[in-house]
Amino acid sequence: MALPPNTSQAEFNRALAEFESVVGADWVFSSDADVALYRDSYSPLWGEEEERIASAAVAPDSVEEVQEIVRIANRYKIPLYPISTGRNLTYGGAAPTLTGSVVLDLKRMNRIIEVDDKRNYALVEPGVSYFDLFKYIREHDLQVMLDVPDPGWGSPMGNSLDHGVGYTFGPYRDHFGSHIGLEIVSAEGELIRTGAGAIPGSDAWQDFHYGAGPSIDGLFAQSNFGIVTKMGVKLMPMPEAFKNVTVTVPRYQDLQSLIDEVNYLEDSYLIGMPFYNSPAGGGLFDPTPLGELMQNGWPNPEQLEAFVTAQNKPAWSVSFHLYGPQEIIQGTWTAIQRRFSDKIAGAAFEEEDLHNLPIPDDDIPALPDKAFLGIPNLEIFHIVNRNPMNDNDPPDGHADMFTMAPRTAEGVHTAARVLAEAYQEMGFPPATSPFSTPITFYARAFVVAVLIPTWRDSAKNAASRALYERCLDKIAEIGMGTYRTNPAFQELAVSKYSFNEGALLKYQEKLKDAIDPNGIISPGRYGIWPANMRNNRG
Amino acid sequence: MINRRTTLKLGGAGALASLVNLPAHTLAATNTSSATPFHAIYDSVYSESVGFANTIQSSASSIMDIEGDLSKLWYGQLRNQLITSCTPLMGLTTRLDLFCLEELARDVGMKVSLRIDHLIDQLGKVEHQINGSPMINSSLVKLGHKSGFGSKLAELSGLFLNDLTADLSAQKLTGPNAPANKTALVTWMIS
Repeated sequence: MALPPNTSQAEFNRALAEFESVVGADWVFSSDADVALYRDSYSPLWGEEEERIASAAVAPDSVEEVQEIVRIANRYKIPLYPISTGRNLTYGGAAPTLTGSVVLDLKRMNRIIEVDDKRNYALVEPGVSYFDLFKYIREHDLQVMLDVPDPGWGSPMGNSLDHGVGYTFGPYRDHFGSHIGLEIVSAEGELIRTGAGAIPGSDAWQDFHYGAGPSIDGLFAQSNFGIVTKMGVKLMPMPEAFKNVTVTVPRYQDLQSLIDEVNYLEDSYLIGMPFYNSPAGGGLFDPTPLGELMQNGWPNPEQLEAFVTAQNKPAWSVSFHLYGPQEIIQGTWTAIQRRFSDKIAGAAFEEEDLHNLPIPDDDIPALPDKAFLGIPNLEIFHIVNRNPMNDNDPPDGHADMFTMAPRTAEGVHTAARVLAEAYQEMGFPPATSPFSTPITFYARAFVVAVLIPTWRDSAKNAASRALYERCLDKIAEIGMGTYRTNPAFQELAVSKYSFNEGALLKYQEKLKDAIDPNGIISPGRYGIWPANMRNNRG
Repeated sequence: MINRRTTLKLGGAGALASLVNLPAHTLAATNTSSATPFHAIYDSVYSESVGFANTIQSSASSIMDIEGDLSKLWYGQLRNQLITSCTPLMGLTTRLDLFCLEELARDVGMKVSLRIDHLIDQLGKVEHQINGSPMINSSLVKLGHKSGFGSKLAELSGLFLNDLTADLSAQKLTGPNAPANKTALVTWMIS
């Protein structure tokens, strides 16, 4: 069994007994078999001495119990690692950042406190999953639509606080961006509410998130400054209908014009999430005919245009959902076709049937893309974990490497080229190409994604870690970074945000020292260490 | 390679189930005489899993079909039952479904206590790998290397139920994927 840092077995046993006095013996887990449930199934450090392992887990049922646990942890200076459902695989799952931490498992705090389909919000506890909230909305015939991540087994709170993302309209698919009001247990056990929730008797907690004075909500995402126990989620009113449409453009050089126009539509809130693709270059998981083209290095623009012509397919496409009343959808679609035709010669258009919402229960199983319509599911495992790119040697998991790029063709091409160079330098076949397309999880930025395999095999993991770290180094050299990563890479990832000699991290650590003087909450999360662990970084 | 997706395309859940006279939905078991009550879980997409279900239905408290969608079973039915009573689960499913179920079972504090992987190559040859209960290793000899092992494993359920001790060697043993060019099914116990 792992022990918390600088804690004897006897002290730890006393702390566990105190935890039991708060939550009951049934909800303190310290056997090896129980603690193993909290291992990160996708860990890039699996089975190695450095794998992040909890010492125990404790599962409170109420805010008051969370406060008591925090007070005990302060007395014993035992680090706590709060999780909601703990299933954010590729980002660490339920495993703590620091070995020996006690996982504060908030799964029992799973109450849906309120869903309002007139003001369009939900107020939930940490242990509520997307499946739970979806079921509640259906059972109560509420006219709101969720924005869900893939897979949907996580919690709206946990996903939001990890800067998770979904698939519908821009303001909703940035999940932290669509939160509205927090309740927090501070590192010293004090209960705080943000926004209008700080006004006693307010009925506007989920309507007004700023309050007066500095907003502190952002301090509790991807951080270790407090334990969030309630969160408001802004919900999209159930649209009357949706329609999936696709625009294709013929030439390689058309990507920038395509992006410009999609940015216009996205920033005008006229379209749901755009999905870029390259019919000529092959889809994200498709085997591509690029081998010969890439034999002599990154091709020049003329070679790329010739390649597209030879494929006899459009160079690029973008699909998106249109949501709303049928009349609005049709009008928007007409305007979209006009705008693209005016800007890009040879632009072509495809449309699918219009569907009324909500989708009847009986029709859901056959839907191909449930997440696009806010329906939680686990189908992503079939898509991501087994695809032609890894069919020869399927990994045990993956560590997603998301490069945040500017919303330009140049940004996408540069990120793709640099990532391909990193792969080649480390002896891996490139996972990106001149036809790599951006993902638009965030409406205001592009993501260029590669999924780096993780294994139960330490030698293979070592190679994957080296690749991941090389990717982080290389993209930083061109002024790019990542937005979310496994704890094994968080320290390196945040070190790239180093403007003015790391002023940002220094400021975050000053806050940490003031807010959490004993350093008990998630030490080391996203590179923020408490003062007592800072010299050796944990 | 025949994988789940291919199988679904070839005919869906109902086809295989109907071949063995099992409806493709949850069944109430006809006999609950086992000393230790347990729920049996199968996936009607796979014939070995259906064979397992056919044989085990006389001893299981209930039989539940994943029907290719574990989330529907877990969030719609199973989790609520297990919160009330942590009745052991025994199943023969894909490796992917066990992977997801193992993560989900943490909600109710249950963990894998037995795991027998069945790796089926393209010629239909089956390799069995046991983790979590060495005492039953000898029983695997009876399984052979051909199809039909699902019903044989169901016959051994009483043996598996004798030892529900959590075993670290069986927990989180693999990721969700099957090895290259193989179908990966797993017989497991979660308790």
